[in-house]
Amino acid sequence: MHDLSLATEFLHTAPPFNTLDVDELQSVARKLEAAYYPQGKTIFSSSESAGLAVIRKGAVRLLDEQRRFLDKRSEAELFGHRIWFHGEQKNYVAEAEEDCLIWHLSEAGFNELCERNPLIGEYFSSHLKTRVSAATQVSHSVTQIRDLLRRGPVLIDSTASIRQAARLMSSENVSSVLVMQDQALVGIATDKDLRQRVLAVDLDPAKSIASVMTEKPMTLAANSGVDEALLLMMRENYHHLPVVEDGEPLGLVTAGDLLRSQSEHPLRLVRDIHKKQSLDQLVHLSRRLPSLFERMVNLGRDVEQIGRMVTHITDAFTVKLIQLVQQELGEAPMKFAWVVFGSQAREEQTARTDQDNGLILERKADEEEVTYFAKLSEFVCDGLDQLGYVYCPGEIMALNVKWRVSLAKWKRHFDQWIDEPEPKSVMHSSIFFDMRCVHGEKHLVDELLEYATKRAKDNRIFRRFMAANVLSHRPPIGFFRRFVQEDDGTQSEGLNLKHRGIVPITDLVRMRALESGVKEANTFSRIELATQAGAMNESDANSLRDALILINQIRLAHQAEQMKNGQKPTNFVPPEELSHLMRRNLKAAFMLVVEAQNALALRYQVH
Amino acid sequence: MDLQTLTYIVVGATFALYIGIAFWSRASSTGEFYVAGTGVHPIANGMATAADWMSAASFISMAGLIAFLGYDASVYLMGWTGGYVLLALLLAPYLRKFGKFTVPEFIGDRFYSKGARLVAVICLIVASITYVIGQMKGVGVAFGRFLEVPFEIGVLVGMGIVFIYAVMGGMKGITYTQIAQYCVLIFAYTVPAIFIALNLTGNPIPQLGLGGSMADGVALLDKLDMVVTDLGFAAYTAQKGTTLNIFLLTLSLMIGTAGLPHVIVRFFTVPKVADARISAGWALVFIAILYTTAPAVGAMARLNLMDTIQTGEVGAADGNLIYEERPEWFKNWETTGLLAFEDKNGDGRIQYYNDKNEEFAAKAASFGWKGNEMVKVDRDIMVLANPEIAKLPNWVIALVAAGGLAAALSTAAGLLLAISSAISHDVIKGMIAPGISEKKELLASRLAMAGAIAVAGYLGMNPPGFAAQVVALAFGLAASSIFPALMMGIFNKKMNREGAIVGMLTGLSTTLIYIFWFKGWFFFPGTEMAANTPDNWFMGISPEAFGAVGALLNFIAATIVSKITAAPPEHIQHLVEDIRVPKGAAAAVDH
Amino acid sequence: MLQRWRHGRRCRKLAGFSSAPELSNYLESCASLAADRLDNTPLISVDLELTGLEKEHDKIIAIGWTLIEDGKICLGSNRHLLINIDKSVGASAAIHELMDSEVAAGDELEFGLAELFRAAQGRIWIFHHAGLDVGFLKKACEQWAGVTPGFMVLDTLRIEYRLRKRREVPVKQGDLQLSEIRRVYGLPRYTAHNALIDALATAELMLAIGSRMEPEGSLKLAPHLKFF
Repeated sequence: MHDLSLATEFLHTAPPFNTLDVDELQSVARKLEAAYYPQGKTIFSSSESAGLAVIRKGAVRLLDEQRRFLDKRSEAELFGHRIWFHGEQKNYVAEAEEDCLIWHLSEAGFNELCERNPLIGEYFSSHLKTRVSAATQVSHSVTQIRDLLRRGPVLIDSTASIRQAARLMSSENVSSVLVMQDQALVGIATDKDLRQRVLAVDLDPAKSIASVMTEKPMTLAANSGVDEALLLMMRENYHHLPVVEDGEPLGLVTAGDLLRSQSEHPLRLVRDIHKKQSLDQLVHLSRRLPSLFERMVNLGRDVEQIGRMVTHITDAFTVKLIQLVQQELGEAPMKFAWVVFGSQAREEQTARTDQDNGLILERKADEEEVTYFAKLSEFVCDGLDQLGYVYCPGEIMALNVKWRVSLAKWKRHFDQWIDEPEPKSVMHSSIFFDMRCVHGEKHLVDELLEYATKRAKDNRIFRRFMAANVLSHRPPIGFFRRFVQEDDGTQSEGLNLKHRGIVPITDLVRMRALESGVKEANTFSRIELATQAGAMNESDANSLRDALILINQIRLAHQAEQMKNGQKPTNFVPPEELSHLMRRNLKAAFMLVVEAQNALALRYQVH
Repeated sequence: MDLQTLTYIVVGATFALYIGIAFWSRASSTGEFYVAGTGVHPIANGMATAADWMSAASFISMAGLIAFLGYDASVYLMGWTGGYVLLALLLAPYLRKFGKFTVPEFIGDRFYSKGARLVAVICLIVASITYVIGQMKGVGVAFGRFLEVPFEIGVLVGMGIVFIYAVMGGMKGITYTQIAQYCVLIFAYTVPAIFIALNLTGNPIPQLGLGGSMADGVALLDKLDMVVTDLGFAAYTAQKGTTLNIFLLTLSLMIGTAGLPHVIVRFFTVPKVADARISAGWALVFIAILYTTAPAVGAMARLNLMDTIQTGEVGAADGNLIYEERPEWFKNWETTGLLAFEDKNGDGRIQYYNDKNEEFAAKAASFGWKGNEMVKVDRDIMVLANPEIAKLPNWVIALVAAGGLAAALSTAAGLLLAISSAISHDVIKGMIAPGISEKKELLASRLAMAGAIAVAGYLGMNPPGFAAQVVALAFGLAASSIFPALMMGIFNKKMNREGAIVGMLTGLSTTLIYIFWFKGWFFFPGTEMAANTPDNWFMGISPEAFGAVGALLNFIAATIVSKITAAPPEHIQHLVEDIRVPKGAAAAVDH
Repeated sequence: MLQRWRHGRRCRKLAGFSSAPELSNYLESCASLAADRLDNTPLISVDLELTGLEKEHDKIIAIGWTLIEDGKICLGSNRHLLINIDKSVGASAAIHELMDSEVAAGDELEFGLAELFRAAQGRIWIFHHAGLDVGFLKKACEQWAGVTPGFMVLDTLRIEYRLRKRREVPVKQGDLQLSEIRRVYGLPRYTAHNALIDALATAELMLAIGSRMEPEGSLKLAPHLKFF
């Protein structure tokens, strides 16, 4: 065995080193120095050194000078060189997000590497275009949409004729053009438009292209992430989206471009869901969920991202079920919105989850309409149950006639909860305040949300009831800061991380959101918006966010482990399974929650 | 078993009970889904409210006050009861509709002004601290007696315990703890009263015993009148102050009750307004049990005290108790310094009479008495000493101690939490440092609590009056500042920010100055501007009763200022209208 | 303090008796060896592959080491030497996966020791479970140079064991295996089993333990040293 093979084998998996031959890899490896950094330690500041660092193990976060988050790097990724963040080159500090083993290459070593290997040099060069081309060659996972643009946009003025547009498209060999008017993007015309709206109906090709284009197309910002763009395209079922920066089109990106950039992506499942045409097929697809989830956790994706992805898969299933049943039942007799609550609304679903949903109708339904929506709900809720999203034990489902009512009735529900906060309705309302439209008329949901949020914001007595409810979920920390384990009478089951860790945090954050009138449901977004609104102190916000991430990470890792062993994932984690450090961190996270709860108790005088 | 050990056991057992209930109810509420239909029965909630309401002033001081002031002390009964009704019917439902659960919050939003809110906060803090002084005094008396230490040490011990109790959350808001406290308290109050009533009148119901007659056929109150007038004191059933003063004092107590935060909160912890009203009704019943017993306890205690000291004919050589033969309870209270004897004529016997009454003083001199020898009889000891004076079993005495502590601690803790929350949340977070972290907010609240306890403790040792009167002062301040602002806020949609602030400041300052004038600036002895006697009072109005006048001045000043300044914004006026219209009426339309 | 002085004195005395110059130099350097902090003390992490656990009749069949400078492992200093032994590796092949033929192609033990002690000059040793490896090295040195040198050692197993005992963490059978401790510290899993990888793994573990024990600064080594 070779003295350096251990290093070269690993380097070979880390782009751009995978392009080097064994000799080159060895000469790099020879210069590497390994160092270990405990979580939270500053590894490096780009203003001090310009060497290169390879993450052998662990994860690193890059922060700007104000210690704002810029990016995250994980195993086999690099940092240390000059990095462009959203089109801007910044000095940054690298900090160990987890315990890290880092391989350092000195500045001299790095320069030598770049000189000897022009491709690598190009990869690290800060110039945008060369970076993109190098990125495609070394198939490094790109983070921004702009990096995926392979050519500039093909533009045509809105006064041009359909014929001119068609000629331009064939001469440029593209399938779509962007239509401009006064320097601004007003529409998009595709092959499909020309086929369906011109040829199929014998439209005169001398007419203006503006008459057949799709007006005001949805656009993507050049600095949006690939995941974000994918989500949007999957959700809306678009295949092309113009990419703009400061209102100016930079080019066009296709779903194919996006998927190619991410060879393995959970959102492929979303795409597959769209293609299926029967419940059985969907059930078959849903079997992929556990392993997908496990992979997401193992890949070290962050908690927020995992929540969003899992939720979007749920959303896709829901939408598909609604579409399937509507194919049978026909169009709905009135406008409606399929609304989801709780963790699905917050986009924080994980492996095991039940369904919380409802229907908001435009108006009171007559008998026939009641039957229509009953059938629709029955199909969707039963379908979700078969897909593994079990019935809500509290019956908060569209299946329940109580949660399948008109907007006005929904508002009265909220009125009643707020004016007469019985314990049960307070518990209900804490689920219902997390609300999001998954399908149908979004404005119905928006209006209800606006109404409910405003009422809760204005009524402190109601919020006091909520606070009392929040305080009924205490972190599992007893006297002398010892862990309190749940037991079912026969044996200790471990720490209930969901009910005593995550639920208290989402509850606390919901309180803050309602205090400041924030309508967003996602906990991370709520923290950010509530902080902006001044309802949360920045350090408190960071504490809660960190605690949530930490507890969730432990929980997710545990669940992934359970699934790997063929067990059903649970929320109970025995503390013995955690390392000493993790136990200490977990305890610290729980103490942060206790502190925030004490402050809440003080604020609302609930004890 | 000796009394002290027994007291420790009983007090310890009752506290263990409260804590046990607190843990049990906290542990059992962490389920994911509530069992449908859980909720506190209105009767239970009424008991809990009653426990909140009854403080050391009600438990310890009221009967003592009645014992020594006689008929006049009934203003406290009427004022507080009336205030409670006022709060339940007039204020709580409207505040609730407004969605605000503290008075400063309501005032701040209704008068769209941080300034108004600040004034309200300050008023409430002052009123609350004054109220806590009463509790500290009560705790000091109880601890002093049962630890057999001087009163000041008793107060210090009480300060420590109150702080710990309040930091632990005071077990507030846990309804079943409150119910337990009520049960202990009412049991501790009525059991000795029943024993004494049986002893004196043969009637086990104290309320009836008070109106009944004694074994020798003489009506109890007549007997008491006779005993006290024989010693130169004013007749027990006589009215001593002017009617105006009594009326104003009652009114001050009534309207002053309105703003006290620890009671208002109770109305917001039940889901429905209707439930709140029903439990308020029940609370009234439970409060009445104690309040109607208090006059009997007061009268009988006075009679027993007099009988103990004046063993025979007034003026007879052997008519007075020999000091050396004084009973055990007398010695015990002497150690606290709340009861003191000085043998002025050197006969070794105790003469207790009113030497301020010149007519009787002359007569007393002829008996060879050289002045009242009971140089100190603190009125707050009456309830606690009562069972001992009546020679009741030790466990009854221990129970009374536990009841007194329960009353003082629950009220003190509730108020201190309200004070600390007002300072840390309303003042510091709301006005001084909005970006403060939660950790610092908690720290600020703890410091505020410690500060409030220190102030209350100091003033408890150097009190401006006895506990109930101190509390009366607190009510006076609240009456003059907060009540008018609340009323105008709810019922006068034209009342604006400027009016409210000027009104509150006028009411508060006139009342405070009037009180300080006769009681010393910030209650420091020796700084009074005039003696605190009826001749010096403005129109014969005592400082305790001036709150009602302050409230009137508040109304007047606010109305004048609001007339000459701009009307409040449109949306506030609408809001005020909305509060008074039932919500359901508007919602039912779009059905 | 006293131990270190005794160790230095012994090494200086022995230096004169050693018949191998590499060992003499090593021993000279030991006499004045300073142990300060993890990030400024030169270290050498070593692992041996053996045919068995008995130093009387089992043999060293591979030596792997890597150097630590300024708290960083220099991957360029990695060395892995196979040692030629006369007899068969026997059943131990199951553990180290070295076959007789590979071992036969290795260097002589004398060469391996010379290289090792040249590298170890002026350095403190790191072993995982030092007792075994040091025992074999001492015996090998006696045969090679006629002296049994002293070793100033950081033993990751011992350090971790004492750490857990201090924190009252129960230690079970197998908990202190190198791979197990590394798992606890979140270090990567190495599948292959060889002297260099284990030496490297031990070095990484030492850095991890050090930074856990002293997250802000750098670990003071003196309290953790063991002298052989």
